[in-house]
Amino acid sequence: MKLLEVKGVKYVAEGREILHGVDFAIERGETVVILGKNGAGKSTIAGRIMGTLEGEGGVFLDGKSISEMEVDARARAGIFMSYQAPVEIPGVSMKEMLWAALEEKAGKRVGRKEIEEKLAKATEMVGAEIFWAGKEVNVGASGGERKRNEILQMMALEPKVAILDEIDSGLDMEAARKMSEVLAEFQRKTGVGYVIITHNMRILEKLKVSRVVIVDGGRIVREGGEEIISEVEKRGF
Amino acid sequence: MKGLSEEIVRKISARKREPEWMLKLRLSAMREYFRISEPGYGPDLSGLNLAEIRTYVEPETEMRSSWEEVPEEIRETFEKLGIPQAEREGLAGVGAQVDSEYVYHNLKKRMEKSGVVYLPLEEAVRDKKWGEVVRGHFMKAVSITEHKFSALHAAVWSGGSFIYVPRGVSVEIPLQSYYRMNAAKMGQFEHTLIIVDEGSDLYFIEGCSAPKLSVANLHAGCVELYVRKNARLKYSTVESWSKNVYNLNTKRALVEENGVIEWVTGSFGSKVSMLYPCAILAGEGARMEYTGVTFAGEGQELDTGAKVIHLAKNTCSVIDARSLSQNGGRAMTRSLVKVARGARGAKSFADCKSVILDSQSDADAVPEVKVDEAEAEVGYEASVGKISEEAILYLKTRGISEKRAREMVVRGFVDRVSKELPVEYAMEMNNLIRMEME
Repeated sequence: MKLLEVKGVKYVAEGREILHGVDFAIERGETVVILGKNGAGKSTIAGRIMGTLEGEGGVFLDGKSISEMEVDARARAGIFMSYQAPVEIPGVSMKEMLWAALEEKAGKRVGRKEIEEKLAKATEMVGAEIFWAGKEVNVGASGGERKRNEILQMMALEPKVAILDEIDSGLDMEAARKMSEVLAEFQRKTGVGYVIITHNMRILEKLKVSRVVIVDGGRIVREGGEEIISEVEKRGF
Repeated sequence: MKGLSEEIVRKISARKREPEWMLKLRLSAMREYFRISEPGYGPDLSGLNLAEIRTYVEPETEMRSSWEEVPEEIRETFEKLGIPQAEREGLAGVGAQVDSEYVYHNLKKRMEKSGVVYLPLEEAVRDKKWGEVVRGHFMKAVSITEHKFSALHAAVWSGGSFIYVPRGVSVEIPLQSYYRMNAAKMGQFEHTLIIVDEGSDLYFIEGCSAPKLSVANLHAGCVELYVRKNARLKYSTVESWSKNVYNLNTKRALVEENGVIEWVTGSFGSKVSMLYPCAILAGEGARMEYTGVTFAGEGQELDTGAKVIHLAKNTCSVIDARSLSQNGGRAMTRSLVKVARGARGAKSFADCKSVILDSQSDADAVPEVKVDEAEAEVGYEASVGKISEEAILYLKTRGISEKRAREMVVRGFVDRVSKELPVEYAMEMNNLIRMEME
């Protein structure tokens, strides 16, 4: 059984179909990379899986359809999506947000100790300072900090599938390499399946890529193994 | 006793065994009340009928005889707020004294040692020594003729506290009128008079966020605060009135050289509120900070904000006023900043933010700025907007339900106020918000 399966997923915006039926699947512990030019429809695929965008087609997690689920229910079922430009939420701390999220996922009250342990673990994996948890969600944070916050959240929430949409944009070489290591380690520990949308191959350095999907004009135009990456790097799409 | 007449005013004064000066003050205030017309701005007050309002309630008759007689809605609210049974009954005016009497007693002993005076205002008025002090300050920061309801207040005031903090004393724990429930229950016309003498420090918490039972549907209280040179007073209020009340309260602080007044206000409930705490920065370097939030729900019109008058050099004020409106509620945020000629180097910044939670509700911000001094800096920002759907969606992608996400974003919006409150009050305020949003 596939961990995540996307079948004939479409998206229509203002009467125009911009995603024309996309299919792919990943197994537990796998990484699928989605490549493509700006405007090819990569983020639209992410939004359709998370449920922030609605449309035709099926999304299955562990063989069960999540297509009819609301965004929050999908998240509780085990889908995580990082934002390219995460919003600021004044007056709400990262810890408060993650606490609420973990409680809703567990369907019961979760104690302070348990939360703090989870946050400490995530902090350690990322090599951050624990102060991040007390800060208001993304308020006054730089682009790089926001990306790191997304990763910290993913680690605290321990999803089954994480869709990482340009999680590496704006990071320098060293930071991207570090993030690649962190993602690989988290995958080894939890078996998370990654759907990585990127323009920057450095983020893939430490990850074992199972499949590469190239999207153009709202369609998958090519699929293959890791070898496609170096080809794209040399010749473009 | 309903309505307002010389007979009633004389009766009130006699029952309180007041000195002659207070009776005279009450009678002249009554005449002013009949002379002054209603405010020419703000919410409609035509629903108020003074003839039907009980201007004075005997303390004993006001005590509800049993918990069962307390309206269901209010009992439920107490329970949701998580207030223990004994306290609920105490707050609702039922039953005997609650535990807090003991707390208060201990507090009183400690304070007395340092010379802090904390008396029911009636007692202070009758007191030989403090009576004169009250006389020199009562209805002096707020004048009787300020507006129609300050005149009414002065004529029929009842209940409230008198606090005097002597020079150079820091009261290390917050004083709470919570401990003075008897006094608080006295009325809809309670008067708080606080004098913080030179170099002293006081944190006063007014009321408690439990819904106040209203025996009359008018609340016209008055708060007069005197902050002397180098003194500091933080004055917090979390109040929740039952939804038939016209809350027309007047609060003012007179701040001397390098003194600081900090207002922290959470206003909930009432049918109509008109409440704008005001600071007069009379001494050089005096400061005011105001942080307040109101929540207007169904059938409510809350007209709130803050005022500041800069009279001296290098005075400074910051106003952060926030409002929420939902289910047809209307929230109006007013701010008034005046800088008098000669107040060189005065600085003021006002920020009024309103969030409208649905399409039936309304909010507006009305700034008024009057600057007669060229060397002053006055800034103003106002925004009226909707709750950030983007933020709610973000929280949903983390697995948080729509309802909880909405509550979190709203609570985040009022976080500035919560942070300024002691933890139990902040929690109660959060509960009040949750209840408003249900």
